[in-house]
Amino acid sequence: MVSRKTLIFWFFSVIFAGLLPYLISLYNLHISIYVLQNIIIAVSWNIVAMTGQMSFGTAGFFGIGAYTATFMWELFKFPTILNIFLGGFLAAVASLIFGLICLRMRGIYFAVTTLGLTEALRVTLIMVHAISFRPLGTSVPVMFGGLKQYAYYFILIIGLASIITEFKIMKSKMFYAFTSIRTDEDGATMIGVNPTRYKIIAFVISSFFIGIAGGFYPFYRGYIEPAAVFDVSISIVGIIMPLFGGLYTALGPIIGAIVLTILSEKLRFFLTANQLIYGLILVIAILFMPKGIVGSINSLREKYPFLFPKAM
Amino acid sequence: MPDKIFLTVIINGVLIAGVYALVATGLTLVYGVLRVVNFAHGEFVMIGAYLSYYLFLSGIPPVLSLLFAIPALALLGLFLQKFLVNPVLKAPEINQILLTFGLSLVLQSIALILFSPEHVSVRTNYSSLPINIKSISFGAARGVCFFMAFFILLLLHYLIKFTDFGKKLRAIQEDKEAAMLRGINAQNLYYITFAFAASLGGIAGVATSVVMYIYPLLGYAFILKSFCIVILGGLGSITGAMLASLILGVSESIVGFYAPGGSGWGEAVAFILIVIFLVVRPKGIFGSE
Repeated sequence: MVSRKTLIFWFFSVIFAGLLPYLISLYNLHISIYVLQNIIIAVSWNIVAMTGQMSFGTAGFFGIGAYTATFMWELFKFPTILNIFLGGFLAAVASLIFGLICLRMRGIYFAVTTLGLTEALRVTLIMVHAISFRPLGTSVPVMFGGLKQYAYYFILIIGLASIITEFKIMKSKMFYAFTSIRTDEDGATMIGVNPTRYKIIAFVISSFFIGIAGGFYPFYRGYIEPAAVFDVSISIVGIIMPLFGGLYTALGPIIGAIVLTILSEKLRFFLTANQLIYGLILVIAILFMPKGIVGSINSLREKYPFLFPKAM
Repeated sequence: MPDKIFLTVIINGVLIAGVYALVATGLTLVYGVLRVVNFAHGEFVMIGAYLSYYLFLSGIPPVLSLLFAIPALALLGLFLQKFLVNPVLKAPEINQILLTFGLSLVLQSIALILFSPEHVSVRTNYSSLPINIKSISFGAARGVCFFMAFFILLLLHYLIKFTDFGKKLRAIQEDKEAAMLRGINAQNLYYITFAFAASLGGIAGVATSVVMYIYPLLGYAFILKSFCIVILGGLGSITGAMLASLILGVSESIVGFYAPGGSGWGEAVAFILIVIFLVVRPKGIFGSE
């Protein structure tokens, strides 16, 4: 059962998130939208990571979502929100096919193939534009006539949906299957868990949300080009934020996304430093706190209980 | 004559495969001995290439800068092995991959800060010299690059097949516990292997500097290709890696010449090869189990 305290915490968090557009400047609202986008990516990546698989292809599915939405608008002039959901849907279908091919293998094969997928898609889209003599970038109308508040509420709803999905998974029987596959795949098979099946389920759910975040991208910015959506830094974001906040935990990716997105936005004045900091965080986190912020707080609490009042 | 053109395309592919083999061999060696997948391996190539560039600016030809690149990269390898790789040797694979990936990000951004993001190149007097043998033509630079790689690979083959060091390496790769019982110091071998792999990357970088542009993200361009080779050849197999680099080099060359849009398809070729192999033969060309 969900405790009363947790319910109250979430109730106030959602109220706060709902009132946010009325409290902050337009620039900070833009950052908040960016934070929510990264929360979706981080939470989705974490769902796959729970099965012990490491995706380096977040940008690939983000891009599939973004380009599906763009092409749907160009070809059929569907309403914006339908385009965005079709982006998520196609990303899910793509991940199903892709997962059937490479999720039978373990660890490194999946990591490398997902990295390759992103690069191949980026190159393919650039080449398709080049061969058909289209300009590389595409303009689309900005959603809700450019009203950032509505865009914020839209991505907030998607973000909440991804968080609720993650929590539902962690409360369900599926989570035990995921954990058993991650800790001992052979053992999991022995007790009747089908690893490939659960890996694919996790991968498809995760890609669906990433695809929606991708579909949102062009309609929020009004412009899209292959290098921007098939950008490896989107995959890096997906990896670093959950790791920083706490892998396999429910709150970790959310905390990681909020802290790191705001940090990197405020550090924008030296661009290359951004990547340097991400790299350093990865190395330091793995060496000194492999359990992330949430995990470190938990082990601190075990070691020094007097530091933490009972109420927490 | 169309078949002459086809031969030229093939030969050019083979020539570039030499460098691919160098990079991939280092990667597969580290995996075979340490069981660590090193995402930062491409950065060794980038560092080697920049070393060659700056030494060239001060008047040292690329072939001689090998003498500097090998010890420099070996030192870097030792350092990284001691402080970064060694602590995670027993950690889960996911941690190892994330660590080396983070390391590659750090090295890339340091390169971006130290060197300008512009593309530079080593322009030797044979850079744009064509060689024609019976109407099959290729750049002399590609030839030099290939022979550098070929020579080092021969040396490596000798080292692994016929020396005491090579025997120990193969023993560790085959069965770590048994090798340690026979008195082989695994820890020392780990250091030597990682340093060795780093210098192989550095050599590949020097060889590349003759034929390609050098830029801070050069390593990233190499890493996907070398992973493709390592997966094709089977993780840990050196012979497999050499054969797989030929496959990748030649396919890239064919696609670059015949496909509409040409060499722009580069990364896609590597990816498609990986997917085909994962479907047909998941353990690679020489992989068993």
